[in-house]
Amino acid sequence: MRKLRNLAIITIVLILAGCASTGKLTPSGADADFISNWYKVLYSEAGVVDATMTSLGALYKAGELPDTVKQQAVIAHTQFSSDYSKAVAALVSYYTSPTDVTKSAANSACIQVQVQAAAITAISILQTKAVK
Amino acid sequence: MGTAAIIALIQALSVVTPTLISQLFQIGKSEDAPTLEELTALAGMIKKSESYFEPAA
Repeated sequence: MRKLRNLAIITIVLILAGCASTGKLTPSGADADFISNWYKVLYSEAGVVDATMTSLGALYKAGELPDTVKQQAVIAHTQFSSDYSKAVAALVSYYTSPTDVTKSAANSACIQVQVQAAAITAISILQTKAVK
Repeated sequence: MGTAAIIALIQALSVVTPTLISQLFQIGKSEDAPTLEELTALAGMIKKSESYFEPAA
């Protein structure tokens, strides 16, 4: 009887420990923290890239940005836009069908957005130095 | 039932049950997690690339 009681206690402790380690889940069972973190990153990258492109656009309108640099910025932003759409679609895919495969795809797609956003920032920094 | 079998049963339960409980009752559902609509709306945040260089209307 005592053995049985001890076994029951051990089982409950193990289950509770497991519950604590499963983390937060969305209603669909996806990792909520993973989605939330990438949502914040994508939201923030969209704002940063918009500000950078607006700044480059202002320089161009003021005649301080060569056509070649403008073209580079347009190409980089077009790629960013494409990567961004893919990242959002990949996150939605993981949200609706949470598996290791969709999670990994979403992770890769979101990292690609960060890489492309950095490319746009680099164009802006180089151009700002050139103008000075 | 031998001790080894009981231990194996406890180990199996401790692995499977937390996931089942979490999924059935949405334990730990994050308040911060975006909804599917909010997630989808992200796509609308990106403007057309050429629009930044077009003259103001």
